[in-house]
Amino acid sequence: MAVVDALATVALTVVIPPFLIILVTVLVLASLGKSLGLRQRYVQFLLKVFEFGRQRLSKHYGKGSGDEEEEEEEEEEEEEEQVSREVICRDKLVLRPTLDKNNSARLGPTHEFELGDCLAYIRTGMEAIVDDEVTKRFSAEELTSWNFLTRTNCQYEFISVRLTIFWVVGFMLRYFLLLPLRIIILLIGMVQLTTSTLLVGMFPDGPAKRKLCRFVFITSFRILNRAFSGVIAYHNSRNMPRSDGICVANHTTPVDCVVLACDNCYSFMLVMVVCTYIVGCLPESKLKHRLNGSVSVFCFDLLSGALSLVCTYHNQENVPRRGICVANHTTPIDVLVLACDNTYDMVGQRHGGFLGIFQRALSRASAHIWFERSESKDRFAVARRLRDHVEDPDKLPILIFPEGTCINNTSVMQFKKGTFEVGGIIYPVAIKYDPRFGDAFWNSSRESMVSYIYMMMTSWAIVCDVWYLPPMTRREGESSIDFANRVKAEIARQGGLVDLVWDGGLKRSAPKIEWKQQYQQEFSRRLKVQNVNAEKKEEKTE
Amino acid sequence: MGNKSSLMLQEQDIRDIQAETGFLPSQIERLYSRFTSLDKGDSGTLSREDFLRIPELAINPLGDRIVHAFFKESEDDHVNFRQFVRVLAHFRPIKTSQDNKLNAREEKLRFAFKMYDLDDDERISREELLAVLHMMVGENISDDQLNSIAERTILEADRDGDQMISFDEFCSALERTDVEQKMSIKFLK
Repeated sequence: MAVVDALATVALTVVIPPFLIILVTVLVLASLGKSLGLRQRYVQFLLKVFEFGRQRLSKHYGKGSGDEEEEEEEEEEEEEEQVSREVICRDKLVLRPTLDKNNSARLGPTHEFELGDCLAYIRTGMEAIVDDEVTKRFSAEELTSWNFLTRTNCQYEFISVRLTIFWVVGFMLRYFLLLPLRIIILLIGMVQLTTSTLLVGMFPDGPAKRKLCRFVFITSFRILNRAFSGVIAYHNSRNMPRSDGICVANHTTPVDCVVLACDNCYSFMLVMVVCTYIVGCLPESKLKHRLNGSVSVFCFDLLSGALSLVCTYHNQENVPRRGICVANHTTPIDVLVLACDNTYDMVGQRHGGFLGIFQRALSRASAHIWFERSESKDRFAVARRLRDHVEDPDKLPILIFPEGTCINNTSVMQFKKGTFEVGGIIYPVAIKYDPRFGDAFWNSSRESMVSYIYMMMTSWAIVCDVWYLPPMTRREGESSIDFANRVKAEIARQGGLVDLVWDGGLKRSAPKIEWKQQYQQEFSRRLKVQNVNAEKKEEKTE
Repeated sequence: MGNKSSLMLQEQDIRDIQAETGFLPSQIERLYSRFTSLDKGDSGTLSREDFLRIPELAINPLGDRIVHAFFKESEDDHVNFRQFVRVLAHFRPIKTSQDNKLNAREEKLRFAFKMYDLDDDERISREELLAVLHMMVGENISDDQLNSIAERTILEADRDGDQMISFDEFCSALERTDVEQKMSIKFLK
């Protein structure tokens, strides 16, 4: 990586004039508020290039020979996978944490034990070895066509001359144009932010200040957005969480965006601290509320700019205004994506050190909920603080990711029920990234935060869709688990994600022994036993 | 990123494995991709822990026995890709056109037989049957009950009166079971 960095600096001195031209053009266009539809075109163009690459690859497959055959076979696999991503076709009996009701019906009435009874279990076990529902959700999503990033498919760039050229051009573009551009615009945005917030801060409270605020932020926004090819479109904004709701994201990740910020650029942190400090100094009022909103949206937008975030927000009318906002979780960037469009209060564990400063800065401006490590174990205390927050109409919606961990963008896993016990309105939000432009999933067990950021800053762009779903409330007599599942199903449906009952905690911990026991119980229930005593015992265990 | 790993699989290996197991090259590639994603230590082999990290397998009542089936041939408690594929090959559906030893009915039966045969002496004793029964029912049925089930099962299957079930006796006990279908996985092409 160091070599690449060195190369980047050298090349920077060579390509600086055209680079500056581009930069100036981008800035001028942005401040004028004009759009050439560049970001959309950029995305469209990339798609075309990818398609070209795919065609070259399959063409090459037809005439290849010798030591390149290996890649061909890979490619053949890829072609087929476009039809189906599965390795095998699973049988009906798939072991899950909760018993499938259909299974019991299918397996029929009680019978005497036979030696062949184990066959179904053997087969489903073998199927799980070949292909299971859970483990593949924790590794990077597989792609149907190569996106000209070596990190997804290595050695593809050497298949044919034309592909190599494309790859080299892409590489130059990403490392020598996009990366420095992103960093520079980040800096410009930061400077503008500091000066403008300082200026605005000096104004006396009043309608003029409010207007100025709005103006300043909107222009800065434009610059940043434009410069970083951010394609943003929100859907169903009427469902956006209103001021006192919860927007769900437990896990320690609300802070991950913070980690992101500090690993990325310390100066940006400084800006954020300054901004939030300024806002914090203001007296409690509507204005403070609004200012906090703009500042945090702005700051997050800045960050997203640095990562070339291209979001499409659907159904803007559903944007949460109050209550709890629940979203599925793929990467720490989720927070950024949502924060770009609306302001949220976050829930997370209190950290020390640099992160602590950041957290304190954030909570100065708004009522974020940070827990002490010991306190977070106490579910009731957490629930109480959440409830207090939700019931206060002046507070921002809370953002919670109830999965508790990052899933790879293909599925949603079990939602922890705690969030759904709080009451109040739940605003589900579905986030789906487009993996073709760079995989947003953070495989935390494999790569560090820094390398993740680096990957994000050097990928094509981050393109994502955000759907605000209509608010949901717990029905009469509905258990919190059922409610959680209902919300989850809704998010999965809208995002086109697979709805799984598995616990995301399996990423790190072993499955619970009770899940196995219920299969043993089910099996024994179907076994005919001679003794009446045994049947009684069975019933007792149920 | 599964695609990366398939480069390590040499073409010659694929041909050898294809000849041995009957899997198509594309299927072998995909199984290799799966193999490497299960191999968390990047050691080129799988350990028992690697297998049991699959939650679906870990909650399978017979999970431990299934995993054990992979370790039959290895001395050092590690499974390499060849062994991995060979075990899976038992579960290829039977087709008349492609003759292969590994997925014949008898091999499928032998695989099931090995599930019960804990000490690898080619016979299922009452204790072994009891142990497997215990795995399948957990604590839900009393030991006395299990004992009577085991005794009855052995009595029914045992032909030569040695109180054990041999492989031949096992096969005839499962004569009317559709082993071909029950022990086959639909591998996609």
